[in-house]
Amino acid sequence: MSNKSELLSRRTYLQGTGISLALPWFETFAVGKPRTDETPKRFVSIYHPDGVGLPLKNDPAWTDWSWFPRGRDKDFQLTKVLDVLEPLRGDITIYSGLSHPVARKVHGHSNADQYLTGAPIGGHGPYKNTISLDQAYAETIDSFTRHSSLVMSTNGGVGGPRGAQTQSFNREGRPVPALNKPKQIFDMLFVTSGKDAAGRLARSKSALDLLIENTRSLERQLSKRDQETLNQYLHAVRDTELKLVKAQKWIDTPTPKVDTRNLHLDADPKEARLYFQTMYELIYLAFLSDSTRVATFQLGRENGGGPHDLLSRAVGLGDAHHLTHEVKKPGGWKNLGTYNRYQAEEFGRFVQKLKDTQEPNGKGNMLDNTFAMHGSASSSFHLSRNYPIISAGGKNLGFNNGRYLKFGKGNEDNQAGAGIDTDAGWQGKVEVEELPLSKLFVTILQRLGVETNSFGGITGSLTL
Amino acid sequence: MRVRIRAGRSTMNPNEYSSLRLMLSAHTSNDANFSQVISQRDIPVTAPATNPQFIHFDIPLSDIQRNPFRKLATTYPRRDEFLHIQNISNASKGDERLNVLIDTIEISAPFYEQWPPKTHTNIFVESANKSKEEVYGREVLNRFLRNAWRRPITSQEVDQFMVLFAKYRPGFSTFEDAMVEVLATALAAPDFLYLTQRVATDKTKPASISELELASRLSIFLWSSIPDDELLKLAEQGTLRKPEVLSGQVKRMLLDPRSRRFSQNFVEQWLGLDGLNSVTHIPEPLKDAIYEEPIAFFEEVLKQNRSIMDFIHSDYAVVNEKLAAHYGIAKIYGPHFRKVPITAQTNRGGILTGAAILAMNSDGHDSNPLKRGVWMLKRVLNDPPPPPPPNVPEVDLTNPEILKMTLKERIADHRNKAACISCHAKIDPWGIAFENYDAFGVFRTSIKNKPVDATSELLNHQTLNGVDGVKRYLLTDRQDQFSRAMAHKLTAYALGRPLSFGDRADIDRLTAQLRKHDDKLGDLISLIISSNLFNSN
Repeated sequence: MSNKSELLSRRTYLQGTGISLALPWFETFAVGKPRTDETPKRFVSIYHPDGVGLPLKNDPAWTDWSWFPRGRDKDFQLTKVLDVLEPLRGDITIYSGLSHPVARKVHGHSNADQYLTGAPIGGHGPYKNTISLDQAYAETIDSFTRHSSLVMSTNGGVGGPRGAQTQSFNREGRPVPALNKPKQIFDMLFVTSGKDAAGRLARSKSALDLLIENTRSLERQLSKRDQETLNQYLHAVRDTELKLVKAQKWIDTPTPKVDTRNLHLDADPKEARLYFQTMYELIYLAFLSDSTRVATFQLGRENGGGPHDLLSRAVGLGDAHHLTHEVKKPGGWKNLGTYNRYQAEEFGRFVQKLKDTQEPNGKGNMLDNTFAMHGSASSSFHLSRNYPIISAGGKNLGFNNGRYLKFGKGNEDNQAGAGIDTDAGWQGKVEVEELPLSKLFVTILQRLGVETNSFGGITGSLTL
Repeated sequence: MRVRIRAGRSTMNPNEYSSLRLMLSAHTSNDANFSQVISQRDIPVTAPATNPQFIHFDIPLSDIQRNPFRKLATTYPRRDEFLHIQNISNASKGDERLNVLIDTIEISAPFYEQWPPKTHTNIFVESANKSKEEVYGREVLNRFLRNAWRRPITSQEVDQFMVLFAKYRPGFSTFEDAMVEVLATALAAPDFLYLTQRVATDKTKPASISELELASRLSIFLWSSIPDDELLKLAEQGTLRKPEVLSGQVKRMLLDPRSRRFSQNFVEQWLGLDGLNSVTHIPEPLKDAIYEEPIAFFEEVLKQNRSIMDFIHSDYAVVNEKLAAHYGIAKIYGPHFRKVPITAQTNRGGILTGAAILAMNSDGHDSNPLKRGVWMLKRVLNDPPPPPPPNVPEVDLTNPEILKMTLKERIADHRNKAACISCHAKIDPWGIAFENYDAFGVFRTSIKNKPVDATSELLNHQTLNGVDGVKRYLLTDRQDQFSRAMAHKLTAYALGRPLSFGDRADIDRLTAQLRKHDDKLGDLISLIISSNLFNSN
C-alpha cells in the first residue's frame, strides 16, 4: 500500500497542484515560518506509567491515599498523595473527567503511546499513531531554538508499538526517539561541536548552487507557462536557502554555558532521586538557555520490567509497577500513594525552580511562560479513563491556576473503576461521561499561539 | 526474507478454495501486541496434497514493522517475533472439508536473488573502470541522469555533478556513500520533477513535443513512472513516433504489470474513490473489495477493448467472493476478481451501481440522493453543478412538519425555496433515481416498510424510473455526452493538467473519433496518444 501512495503523490505532483521541493538532507534543519520573536512560550509534559491509587470510599485508605483532591474549583483539599504541592497551590491546576475517547476500553499497558496523540491505536493488530501535542507545537516554533524539542524517557529509544518509550510522535505518526542518558543529553545540549552538521550544511549549499545553476539554464528554454511553474520551484529553492542560513546561524552560535552544579551526569535510574532530579535539571537548563521550548519526559514504559521500576527505590519501595498490583495487600494503597507523592514532589521541585527564575529575556518568571503538564493515561488499575492530570504555570499564556477542575458527569467522587486490582475494570462498560482530553490539548495549543480548532480528530476546546 | 512453503489441498472440490497469507506479530507488552499482514497478496493453493506445490513469499524486512526489542540483551520485554501462516479459505464444515497440508517451511533471511542486489547494480554498474573513481563516477552519473531525466545527458551536465562529487568525497569513507548524496541532488532537479518541454528553436515548424518528451509522457500516462530503456532508445533513435512502432509500444506498455498503476490511479481520480476512505460504516475486508471492484472492472474493459458504454451498463459483473456475496451472486469462490455473467435480477452491471459509488455517496446510515446526484453530474456526465451559494438555509429538523416527511418530500420541500431551486432541480432527480440502493449499496424495495419511490423527473421533463431508467436514458439519449466526458477525463489524466476552453475543439474531434471506433476503451487510449493535444506543448 505504501507504494501506491507514493505513486499517487507523484501523480498529483505532475498535475502541478502541490509543488514542494523535497531535499532529503535538510530534515535536521527544518525551520518554521520566520516571525518576530517574543517571550518564549514553553510546553513540557511529564508522563508516568501505571496510573495512581484510587481506593473505594469505604476503604480506610481513601481519606489519605486517594489521588484526586476533595472539593472543586478554588475550594479543594489535597490528600496525602499531592499535599507536597500545597506550597504551589496557586500555581497548579488539577483535572478530572478527561480521557481519550478511543482508548477508554484499551488495556492501560498499551496506552502510553496515545497520551499526547489521542490516536485510535487499539490493543492489537496493525499499528498507526498520529502527531503528539508537543510536536504539533514544536513544528510551529522550531526556528527560534537550536533544538525543536527535547524528548526524554527513563528507558530511552522508541520502545515498541503499544509499548512506547517516548511520548513524542512526529507528523507522520512515527515515534521520536527519547534520550535517557544524562551525559548524552547534556553533550547534545551544551557540548556538541557541530562538526557533522557543518559538513552536511556545506554539502547542502553546494547541492543548492548546482540546482540553481541548472534551473537557470533550463528556464531559458521553457515556454512562458512552464516558466511560471518553474518559479514555484525556485521559490521552494529560496525557502531552502533561508533554512540553510538559519542552520548556519546555529552552527556559528556557540553552545550556551550553563551552571552544572546540580547535575549528576553519571546518575542511573538505580540512584532514583539523583537521576530523576538530573533529568528535570536538564529540562530546566535547556529552557533557561532557550535551547528548546518543548520537552517531554516519560518515566518508564507501561508495565514494569525496565529501569523505571527502580525509581520507587527513592522512597524505599520495591518495583514501581508491582505497587499497582499490590494495593489490596496491607499498606498497599499507602505504598502506591507514597510513590505517586514522590513523583509529585519532584514535579513540584521543578515547577518551583521555574517559578524562582526570572525569565531571561522576557516578562515574568519562567513558570509564567511555561505550561507544564504531569499525568498518566490510566487512573486506576489498567483503566484508561479519568486521566490524573496536573498542570502548572502558564500565567502569561492565559492559564488561571489554583483550581481543581472537574469535567464530565456521573463520577464526581472519582469512584468509577476505583478500588480494583483486576482486569474487570478496563474491560468494563463505560458508565460515566468524560470529556475528550484532546479538547484540553486544543486549548493548550491555542494559548501557545497555534491557530487550530482541533486535535487528534476532536474539534473544540475546553473553557478553563 | 523468503518464506518457501510446500503445500497441497486435501480435497479438490472446485467450490472450495484455500490460499496462504503471512502475518508477523510480537508481544510488545504482556497485554499488548501488534500484528500485521506482511504478504502482498494471498497465494492460492491449487495442487493436490499428493502432488504438492511450492509457494514462496518475498518480504522486504526493512518495509515491515519489526519487534523493536528483538536485539535486547535482556529477556524482557519479549524479543520474539511470530510468523503466522494463515489459511484463507471458504472451506465448509464436515468430514470432507478442505484442509491445506504443509510438509515443508523454509525461511531464509536475509534473502537476495543476487548479491549485490539488482537495485544496487542498476546504479553502480559493472565496469572495468571501477577502481578509477573519476572515470567510473562519470559512467554512473551518465546512466543515472539519463534514466532519471529521461534524455541524453551532455558532458557539461556530468561535469557539474562531478564537481559536486569531488566536494562531497572527502566527507565519506566510500565512493558509493558520496555518490548516493550526489544522485539525490539529481532527483531534486526540475529535470526529474517535471515533465519539461523545451521551446522549439525552429519557429517555422508546429510546436510539437520531442520524441524524448513523448516517451516521458507515455510512461507517466500508462505506467505512472519513467520510461524504460527500450522507450528511451527508440526516442533517441527518433523512431518512437512511427505509427507502427508507437502502437507496438502502447500495446507492450499496457501488457506490462506497471500499467496496473494506470487503471488504479485513473479510476481513483475519475470516480473520486478517495471518498471511500472516510466511509466508516463498512467493515474492512468488504470495503477493500468494494474499492477494488471499479478498478478491476476498468481493467476488464481495457483488456478486452470493450465499449466504454459498459461502464453505464453491462450484462456482467467483475467481483470476488466477498463482493459476490454482498451482491447476492452465488457460487463465486476466492479472493481474486473475475468477470461473471449476471441477470436483471442482480440489479448490477456497469459501475454506477457498484457499492463503491453508492456507499461513499451516503451519509453512513442511509442513501444521500444529493451526493449521488452531484456525483453523477461531476463524474459521469462531466457537467458539475456550481457550488452552493453562501446563504443556503439549513433544513430545519426541529420543524415537526418537516420531520413527518419522507426523504424525497424533504428534498422537494428544500428545492422549492427560491435560493435552491435552480441547482437542485438539476441535481436531485439523478440521485433520487438511486433510492433502491442503501448506504451499503444493497438493493432494496422498501424503506421503513414503505415501498421505495425511485422515480424522478429531469429538468427536460424526462422521467427517470429508478436506476434502470437512468441507464436506459443514458444509453438512448446521452451516449454522446458520456463519450465526450470519458474523452475529456482520460485526456486530462494523460496530460496531467486540467483542460481549458482552448482544448474544446480537440476534445470534440477526439469524441467523434471515439464514437466511430465503437466507443472502445483501448482505442480511446491510442486515439489520445496520437492526438494533437498529447503531442503538442
